[in-house]
Amino acid sequence: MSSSQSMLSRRDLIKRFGAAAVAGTGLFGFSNQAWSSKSAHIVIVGGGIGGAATAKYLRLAHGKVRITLVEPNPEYTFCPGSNEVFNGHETLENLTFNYDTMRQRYGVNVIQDKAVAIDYAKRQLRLGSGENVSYDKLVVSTGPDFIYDAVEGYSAAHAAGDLPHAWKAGAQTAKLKAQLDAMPQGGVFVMSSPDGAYRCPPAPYERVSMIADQLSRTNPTAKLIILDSKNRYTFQEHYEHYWTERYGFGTENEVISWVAEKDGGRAVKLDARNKTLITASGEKIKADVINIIPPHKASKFAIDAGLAQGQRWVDFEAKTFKSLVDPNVYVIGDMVNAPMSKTGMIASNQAKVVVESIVADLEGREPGTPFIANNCVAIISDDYGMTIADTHRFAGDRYLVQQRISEVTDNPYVRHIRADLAKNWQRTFRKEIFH
Amino acid sequence: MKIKNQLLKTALVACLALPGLVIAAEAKLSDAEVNEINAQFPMPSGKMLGDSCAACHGTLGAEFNEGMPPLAGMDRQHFIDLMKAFRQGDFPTIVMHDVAYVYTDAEIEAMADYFASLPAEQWPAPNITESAFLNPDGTIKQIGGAQ
Amino acid sequence: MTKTNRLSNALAGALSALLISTAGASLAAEPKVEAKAWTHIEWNQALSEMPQGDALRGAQLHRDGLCMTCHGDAGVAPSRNAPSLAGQTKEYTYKTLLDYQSGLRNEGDGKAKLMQAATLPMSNQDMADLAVYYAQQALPIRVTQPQTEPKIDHMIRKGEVNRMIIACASCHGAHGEGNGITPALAGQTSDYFVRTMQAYRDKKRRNDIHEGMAQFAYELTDAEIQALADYYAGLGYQGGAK
Repeated sequence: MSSSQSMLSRRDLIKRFGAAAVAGTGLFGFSNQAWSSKSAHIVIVGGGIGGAATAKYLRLAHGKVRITLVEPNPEYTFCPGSNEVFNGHETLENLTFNYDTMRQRYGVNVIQDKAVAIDYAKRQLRLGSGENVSYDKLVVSTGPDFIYDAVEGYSAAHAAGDLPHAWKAGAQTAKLKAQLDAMPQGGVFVMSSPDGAYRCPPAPYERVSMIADQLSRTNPTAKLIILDSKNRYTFQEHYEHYWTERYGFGTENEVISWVAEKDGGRAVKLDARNKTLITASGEKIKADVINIIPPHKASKFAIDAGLAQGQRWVDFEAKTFKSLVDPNVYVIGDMVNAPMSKTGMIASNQAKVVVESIVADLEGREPGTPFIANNCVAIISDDYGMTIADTHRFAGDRYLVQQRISEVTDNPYVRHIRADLAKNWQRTFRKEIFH
Repeated sequence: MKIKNQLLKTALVACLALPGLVIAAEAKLSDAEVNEINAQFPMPSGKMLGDSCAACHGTLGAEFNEGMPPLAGMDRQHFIDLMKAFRQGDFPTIVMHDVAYVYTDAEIEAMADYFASLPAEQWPAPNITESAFLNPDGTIKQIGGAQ
Repeated sequence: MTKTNRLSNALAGALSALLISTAGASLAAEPKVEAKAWTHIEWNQALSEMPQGDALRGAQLHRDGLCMTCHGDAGVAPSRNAPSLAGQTKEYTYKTLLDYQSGLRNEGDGKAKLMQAATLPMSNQDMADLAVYYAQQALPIRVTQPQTEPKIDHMIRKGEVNRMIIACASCHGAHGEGNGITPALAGQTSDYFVRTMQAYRDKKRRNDIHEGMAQFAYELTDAEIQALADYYAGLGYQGGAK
């Protein structure tokens, strides 16, 4: 970007770039790819994994489309890896990326603002500032929002204050980490793990494991309790196997306790003043640190814009990820009603399907058949990791899932190498999205 | 949709569970079922299949500094031989035996063609300006292209 | 403990002070100690204490320890990502495994991290078993002496006085077969060879005793390293590393 362009105000940029639908040439370092005023304008809402992957892969596929990314935050912090902040093996700084590479390498016009509404008829996106950005295609990847009142008394204000859910990595993660570090010797940590679909199915159990690893060194008499709103969870056999070995799981002296929904594990009410969670069976559990992970739903933006059509999640056309509300709008990521885990890798691969849909539309041809893979690695400790491999084969109006989960093992090599693979995956994935 | 009920029963066990809480220990489509799906829809392209590997192997398979091997620029036949060995399960792997079993011969070959066509070079970090993947002005080339 | 009394147990446990069993504590990740470089005396001592290796156990560990996944059937690398280990000297393999485990060898990339994870569970006996196993594996195909440009050929066989480079062959052998702690190079994966020499040159790899290798690498150009890599790759098995 030349200095004169970087001096433009955001308002000027919108005028020149989006709202007026007048394309500049040579904007944002793309002097070699002269955009004509007829170049399609693709606007992406949400600069997380799904949105960033859409912008990057769209530019990889197409040199001439104009790409605008609307994101309220100047930086994005990855959730994958953020559980390891709790045992000091990862830093938030290492997980945080700005949008400079998006701008410079991929020629993306990044607008730091909130999207507030879609005018489907005019094909305009309204921003928090009141400006309207015209689009030819709109991609919405605004992630999940939280159903705070699933636990009565819990709220967004609590989450932003002294009771962080830390389910979007960033300041809340740091706050929860600080609370855990300051926990008195022999203190109690309680987590409420949600039911329904939530992002990264094994993550609550990974988080507890990372906290237990840290506390084993700094606060070995502390106690961790998971109050669960469900009866089964991903990698359960692995977690229980390892917790039994290391934390006496299943004994009188267990460090980590897991209470299934059927055993009264569902947390239904928070007494914030007394730092107490109350379960469905009426048990009161007082804790030094409380981490409520609320159930999820589609983002407020997706719901407000009518994309969810009154449902909890957003439906889409299987082949293209086009919204059922409007064929010029695409929907991906944790907010969609897909038979897929809500993971970053899924969002990134859905983005590639959307890119193919958009490019096919621009070229006036039928889009290729989608294929979506999800290969996740979770850890219990530095010395125990496990993998899950899902593939989603397109079959007309649905996707067919094939899944394999790695076996529980006592082979120390396999355990160590899988754990290292998790770090390996995280590093590679961060580059895949933001480099 | 003309897929048999039988197929739906086996494959949708996981689909119909709560999304995100898929716990089936193993959901596997038979070769006949995959063939039936593939007879109805065009096969996903080598690029579609190959790009879904990027989270682990890097963008366009071009991650050369990690434990997981790069795929960009890989010899075509070598890729095919390895994937078939993984699929067969006769080679100890960390995760690839759990990944490769879903692909048909034709899909493996399409991915092999795609990766063989890409430059065997590290995907450039943000501070890198000279790269097979970049134009002289630092912008990205359309390598790999659309589908 | 039955599932039904989990909650009451969780509550009871919360009130009592708990100690993690010592068996459990040993699983905790220990803070890593800065690895100490070898002196010749220390290395000779370690070598004299190297256990008698058992190649059959080594073969088993090669498979069960997932070494084979990256280093290939019988130690011939299946990808450009990892070195071939077949035909390597047992002393070099043993030292390399010790150095990965201690963190002395750490080029700072994901591959070194993976090797550290892979070696953490190993006993010295395991390392000796693997070392002997790989030393017994032959590179499957030998080809005729590869051609290389005269300057590189001279460096390999005679050395280069101007830059104080001793002939490669004087330590690594006329056929790249290696000698004791000096590794065999014949048939080595070209990408690995290049990466390794660049790591020596750029001081990312520092586990050689008294810079036994690095001192000759500092002034090599990328083109020279590539030519050497091609030469040594051509000395041995062809068709493995792709």
